[in-house]
Amino acid sequence: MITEVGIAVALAISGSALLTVVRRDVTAAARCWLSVPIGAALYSIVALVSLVIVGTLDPAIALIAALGLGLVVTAITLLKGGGLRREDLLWMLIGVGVAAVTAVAARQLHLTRLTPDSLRYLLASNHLVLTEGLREMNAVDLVTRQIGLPALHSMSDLVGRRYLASLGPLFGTFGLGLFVWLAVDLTRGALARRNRLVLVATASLFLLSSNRLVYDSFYINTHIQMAAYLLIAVAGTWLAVSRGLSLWAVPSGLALAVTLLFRPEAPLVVAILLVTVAASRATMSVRLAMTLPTLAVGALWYGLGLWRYAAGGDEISPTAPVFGSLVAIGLAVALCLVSGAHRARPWARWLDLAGVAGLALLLVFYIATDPAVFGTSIESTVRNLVRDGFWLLTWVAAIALLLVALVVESIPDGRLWTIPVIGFALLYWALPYIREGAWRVGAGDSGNRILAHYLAVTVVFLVLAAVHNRGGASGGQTETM
Amino acid sequence: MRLGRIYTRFLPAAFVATAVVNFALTPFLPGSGAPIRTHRDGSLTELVHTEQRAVDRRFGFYLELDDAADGGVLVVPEGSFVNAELADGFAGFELVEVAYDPRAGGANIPETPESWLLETESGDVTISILAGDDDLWWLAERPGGEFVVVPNSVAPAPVSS
Repeated sequence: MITEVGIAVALAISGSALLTVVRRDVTAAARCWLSVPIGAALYSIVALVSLVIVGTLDPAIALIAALGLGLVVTAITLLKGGGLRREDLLWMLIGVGVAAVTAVAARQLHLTRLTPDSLRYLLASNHLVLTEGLREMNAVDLVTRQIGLPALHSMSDLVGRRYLASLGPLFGTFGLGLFVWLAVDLTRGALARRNRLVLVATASLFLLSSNRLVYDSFYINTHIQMAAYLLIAVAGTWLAVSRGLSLWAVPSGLALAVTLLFRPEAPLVVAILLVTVAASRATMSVRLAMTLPTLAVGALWYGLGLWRYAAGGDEISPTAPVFGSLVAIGLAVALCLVSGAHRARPWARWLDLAGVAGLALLLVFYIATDPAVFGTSIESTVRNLVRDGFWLLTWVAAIALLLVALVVESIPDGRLWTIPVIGFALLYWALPYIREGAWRVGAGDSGNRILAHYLAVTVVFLVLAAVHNRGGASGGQTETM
Repeated sequence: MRLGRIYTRFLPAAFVATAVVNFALTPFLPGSGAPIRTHRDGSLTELVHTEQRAVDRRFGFYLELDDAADGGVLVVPEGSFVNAELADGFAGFELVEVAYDPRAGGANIPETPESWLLETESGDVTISILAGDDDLWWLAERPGGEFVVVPNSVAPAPVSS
């Protein structure tokens, strides 16, 4: 158990250390809750480089390298800009403490959940540590399962177990911590203190009562990681652009990039968010921070890794998973950077709306060509949302509230929230056509499970819409509830 | 805008009401949705009388019948290399019977069966499964001391207890 606690602490320190570079704009408390996801992102990127360049993954070396990178960044930052404040150290210690306690609790409580899908990820984690890791891993699974989760679970080698019981709980705990921090920060100054506390507490309770999200914190799959990374990416982008806290784009860009290692549909998710940034008033430095990690990870993983080793990876066709994803990533990155130019602004600001309209048209085309898939997906989704998917009332309430929020919201730079939320919803309905067929009924169906990716983002949006809406809550210091 | 004010005013109540209903209904959810359980020692699958661990990372999973007083049934797909060893060393093989799975194509009919049936007698028998080609294997729990290994492309084999 000591080794597993050590891994959790190393991830927290690695992330905290790297985030020292953004301390001007990202508060110590926020960095605390970002530490484990960002530490894991750093480890995953080191693992990617090792697998693509060296051919194999040594989890101990990758963890030490991630830790070393973080500490080097800290040293350089401190040499340039003064020492750490007491508050920085305090929150760093809190992060390390929470990581350690979470790891101990995860091992003691023994709540890990597995399905046959989990075993596939864990078998892949066995293959990645072999001499030619990517060649050893199943060629189909390289695309469908990706290497993010297997690379993280490869660290179980250091523990002498077959999986890291603490990995899911760490993302769940730190994701919840970040959610609470965001809810507190985003509502600051907009409501009376008591009302603000009530809103934050009830929103957190809502999230905690979501059965599938809690389940995903213990289930060996990629869902809790995606939920945490998308929350960081979407919220961080808004803070960087709308609040002018441009350094938030660093964790946001890293989180967005690393999703490419976790899910096969991530390139489309990344494209939606980057096109949203393209249309926003983001500065060029924000655009660079958002796109360069995605460009590097996309080029390494899709261009060098999957292209060579995945089943059909070198197929050149718009619908080929590797080539199509490369095009989506490349196009989104290019649009995001080009639209930062002053001369591009008149047309670039409509890019996000055009993107969503294009996605909607694509969906209409799909439905027209094969309405049965859509019909089955609707029926399955309705059944999953109200009963069979084990979401209980979560999405029934969230969708109803979301529809109202979309109408009433007046969030500054609100399209940074509404376009991703609508885009993810359209993508949900388009995925059955792009992937393996209609969504099915049941808690274990992919469609039902990926709903977890978007829940935290949706709830933060609901909270923001409560303090920035046409009813006058925005800026109202004493607005009552 | 009145709707905005109503939204702001009632959002916390909506959150609380949903949470209360969710918490109240959670105990009534059927099962955990996770068919494969874990051991406290970090091994993966808790099959009846069975413990699973990796003995050779290259070749996937390794099954050990640690208390197989009543034997066990192992179904593996065509092309698999099945090897049974005594747990106390390499004292020799103790393959009791290797036959085609009668449920997959009729008893002992040698026509491209989808799976082999391996039955073991009582005693400490270790069975290792070496996956051929590029297939991956996964395990599904079955009642009655039986367990199934199926490749990526095949649905769980129809084994009944």
